[in-house]
Amino acid sequence: MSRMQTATAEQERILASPWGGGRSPFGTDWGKLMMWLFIISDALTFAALIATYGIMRYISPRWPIHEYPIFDMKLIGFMTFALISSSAVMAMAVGAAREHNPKLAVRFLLLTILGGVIFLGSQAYEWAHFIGEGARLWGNPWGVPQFSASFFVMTGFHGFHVFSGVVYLTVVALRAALGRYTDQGVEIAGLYWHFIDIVWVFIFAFFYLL
Amino acid sequence: MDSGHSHGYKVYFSCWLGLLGLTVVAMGVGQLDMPTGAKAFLLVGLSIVKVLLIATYFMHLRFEKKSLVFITTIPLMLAVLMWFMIVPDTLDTGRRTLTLRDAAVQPAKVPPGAAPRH
Repeated sequence: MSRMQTATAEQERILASPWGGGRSPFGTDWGKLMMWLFIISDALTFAALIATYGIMRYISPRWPIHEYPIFDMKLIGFMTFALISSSAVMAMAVGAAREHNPKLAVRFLLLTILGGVIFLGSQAYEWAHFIGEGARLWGNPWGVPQFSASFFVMTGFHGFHVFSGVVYLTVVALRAALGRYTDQGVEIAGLYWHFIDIVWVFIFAFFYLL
Repeated sequence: MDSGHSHGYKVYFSCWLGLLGLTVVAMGVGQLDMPTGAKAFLLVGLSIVKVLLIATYFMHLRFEKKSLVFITTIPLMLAVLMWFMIVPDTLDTGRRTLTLRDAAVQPAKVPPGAAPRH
């Protein structure tokens, strides 16, 4: 066998292997895999933020939410309800897209966007109230500067993700309404939206309830 | 997700109800007067169940290949492991900060006869 033939055979062997690029080792298409990789990296960023918050909580001798009724838990509960509901409706949008029913998919997408907008509006109200009480990134009237810093950084970073998600879903919904969509595209957008919901689960538990 | 899997909306609806129920339970736990450690344990447990519901049904992870499930879950497990490795370093953070601050305001101890380095 000549050198050229050996090289060709070796190349074919690699391409035929699960890691050769000739197949899909994760059993999914490129776009979805990239979204999953983005979600993992973003999850680690949020994990770092939550870990930092946890350490600050751990070394702080006192924490204001144990002493003052700072947050309106009814509002926070409503925000959680809006986000969880939008996540469920997003899953239905993916189901409708996979059944090749664009009209229904668009309706579900619009409901998802509505959930996101309600969440963002509630968060804007919460921020305005919090700032009105004197809370700033570098300090607050309750005497624990880390408290308001954690609040603004964590909920702000998450809120920015929600805002990005609303923009992203609006583009997907518009494309779906124009008939220029793929069910994979809707599913990829859905993965991002569900990830936002997952992050909120932790922020809700660790920041507002603990 | 394999293209052959078609979900009834019933599954999503049940999952949504489950998530709402768990949220109400978590809010109840948040109101309980109990040690912070026990409360954290309960809330972490409830959060993990919620995340599993979302990832399994809404994100369809149960229909993905195991390789994809592994690359999504292993980094997060390692992140949790990293948290437990970092925490011991924070136990005496306050004391160490004070020590460093004290050292900063104290004059350096120079041995007799030793010239300062320029």
